[in-house]
Amino acid sequence: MSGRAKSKLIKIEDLLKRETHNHFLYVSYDNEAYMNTGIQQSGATPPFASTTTGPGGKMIKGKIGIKEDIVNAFAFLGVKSGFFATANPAYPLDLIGKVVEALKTPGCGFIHVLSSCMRGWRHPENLTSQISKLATESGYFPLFSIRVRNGRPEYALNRKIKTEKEKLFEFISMLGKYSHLFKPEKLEGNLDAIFESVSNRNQNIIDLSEKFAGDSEMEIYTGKLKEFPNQEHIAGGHGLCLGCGEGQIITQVAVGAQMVGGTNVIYTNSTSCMEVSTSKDNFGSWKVPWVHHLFETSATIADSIATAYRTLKAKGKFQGELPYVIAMGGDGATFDIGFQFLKSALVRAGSWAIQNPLLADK
Amino acid sequence: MSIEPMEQFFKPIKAPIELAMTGNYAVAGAVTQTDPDVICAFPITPQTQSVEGLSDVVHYGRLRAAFVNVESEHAAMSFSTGACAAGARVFSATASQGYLLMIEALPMAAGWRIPLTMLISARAFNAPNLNIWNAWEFTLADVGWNVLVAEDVQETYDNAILSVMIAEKSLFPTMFVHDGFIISHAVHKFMALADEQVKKLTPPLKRHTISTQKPGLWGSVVTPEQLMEQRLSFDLAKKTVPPKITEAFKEFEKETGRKYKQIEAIKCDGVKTAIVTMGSMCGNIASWQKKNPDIGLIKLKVYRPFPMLELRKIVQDLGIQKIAILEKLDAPGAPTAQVGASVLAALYPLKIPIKDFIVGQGGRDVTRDEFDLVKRKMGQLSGIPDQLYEYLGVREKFNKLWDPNVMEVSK
Repeated sequence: MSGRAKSKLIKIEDLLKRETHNHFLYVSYDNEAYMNTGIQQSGATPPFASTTTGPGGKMIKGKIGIKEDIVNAFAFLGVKSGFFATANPAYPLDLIGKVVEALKTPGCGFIHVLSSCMRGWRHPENLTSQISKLATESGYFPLFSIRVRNGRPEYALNRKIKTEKEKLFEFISMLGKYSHLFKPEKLEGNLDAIFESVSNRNQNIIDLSEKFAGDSEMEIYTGKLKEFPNQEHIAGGHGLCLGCGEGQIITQVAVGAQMVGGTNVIYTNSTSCMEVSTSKDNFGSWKVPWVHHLFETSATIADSIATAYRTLKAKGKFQGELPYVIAMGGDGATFDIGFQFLKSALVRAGSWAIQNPLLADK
Repeated sequence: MSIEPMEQFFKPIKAPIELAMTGNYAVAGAVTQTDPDVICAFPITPQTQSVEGLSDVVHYGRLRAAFVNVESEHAAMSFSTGACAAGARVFSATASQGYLLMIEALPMAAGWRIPLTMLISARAFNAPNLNIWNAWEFTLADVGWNVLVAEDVQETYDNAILSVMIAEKSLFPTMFVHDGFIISHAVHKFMALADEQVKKLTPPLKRHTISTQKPGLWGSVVTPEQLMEQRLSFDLAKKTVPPKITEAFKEFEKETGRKYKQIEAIKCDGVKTAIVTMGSMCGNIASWQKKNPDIGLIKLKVYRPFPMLELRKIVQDLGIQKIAILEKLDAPGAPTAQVGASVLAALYPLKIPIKDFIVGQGGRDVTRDEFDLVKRKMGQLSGIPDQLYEYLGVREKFNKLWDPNVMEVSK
């Protein structure tokens, strides 16, 4: 790609100066199984991982199948305007930067975040950040973003993608959900198959990022983390497990959202660990409106709230600043039961909401 | 698409006017006049034209509303719930499989106490085969919605407006039902109100909404420590609805001259036997009564909350000794079907013979032949039957009805 910058720094403070307003952002915390009900297999469970509905047994070694690749599929739906990305809480500036950019992008936003679950992945709770970081360094969970304008995606990598066999096996060996691949004997064939699936997926992303190239190959979000304001969206004292990736993710999403919208932010949440751990018996950890409807509808509810506010504003029935609405859902809500709802909400927010003459931004 | 049928509602209606429209388009017109902010539904026969008509008034600029096409009825109910909870006036519509698909989301709309309104164009659901015609699928779920049922196009037009009044006064979502095809697709004359009248009847009322000015949790997880108390308070709130419905009926009567009751005894003076039913059959029964003055009609306009004590009082005060129920959905395996179960519970202290007749499922016409049969069967009924319900109007041969007691169709 000639004429394309090698890398670019994106200052979060510059993003904050933008005056555009997102219509709907969905943050998926992917812990690779239905953790809330006790580690059952989902569409995001990687091959050979052991779950309670696909255990690593003598005959069948964990999940038979694939870990679905969802971000790229969403980026090719053809929306008019949208921001799609992967993120990892071990890279907080990257995650916060993406939340800020998504909330400043008219249309739809979707961020797929890897979320370690120490119970389901079976690792000591103090290793969460180390393991999460290794996931990206090994190539298991690459960081990239896709800006879509008029149906045309533009890719940017946020970290170099290297599929490193040794690091990948180190990552896998740290997770008890793969222990059946190492004991009683090392199953080289299965491990190689994991490496192959990760390599192939990464090659797809590299190919796409070259074919659908933005103006620079690599983009790094920058800012002074210590100078970011404390978020006021969720208080401590929730009931998530020690070392839960979701806890890191909520805090980082809230820091980004706080900088964009202050406390004029509404969260919707699918049924999940996050939902039950932050809202028990109406004594919630949330300091801003938080809405849980059903397992599969956090996207629809977020979209409907945003649409209602826009309509009321257009009709003169609401005078305030439009709130930012963020839907949060686990991998079940994203890849499986909520897939249809999420896909349609992304499309509505990424096309209908910005093209509709009644709702169009003035 | 439906510009022509909706033409009357493209311009302001300045004075009450007589129109001739199908039930679905009449509802679309009435909903237009209530000035909804969000309309969200998924098309299904026989509800379709109600939302098509609304898309016309939105797309041609008559109504300023977000007309939201979604991917399923489940999404339609969820979107409607979220938008209504955020403060919008919202209308939805469905039938049959769509209603069944929505069922997971219906309790939350009631539990959040949002004044959402929805048209049900009543239709059978698939089993063992697909049938798009009339049946009472809406009786399947009791999750706290108010339910009004219409006899004709005038009533379904009026119910569209009354539902907004009732939903917003009671803070319970309200569905209004008309029989699929029989009303949804039948052209009747009806009186439409002036826009100003509808505006006066449906002022926006203050209520709780999802707002960053007043943060709160919606739909959090509760333990066994809490749910029973929440269900009780929900039930107690539901008990305050009937007087609010009566209040809405009175305001409506004052403005329009049209008088409605939650339950109504029609030509019941001196009768020993009465038929309890609702919807489009009521008109046919009323005209059949001209030659059969010995059978009364008790019409339910409000199905939920069920006017239990009012029904018991009518039967008691008028000295009615036998009750027949006509309803359009069976409940295999249950002691009797849904409407029958409510009527039986309401009347059990009276210890009178009651029989529930399943009729008209899948759009089968319910004619005077069926009413004649009901009359004969009720005449033969002495005491409380072991079998609480039976099917009526089922064919054994082309000219012979199936019946445990074999009855020829009268020529």
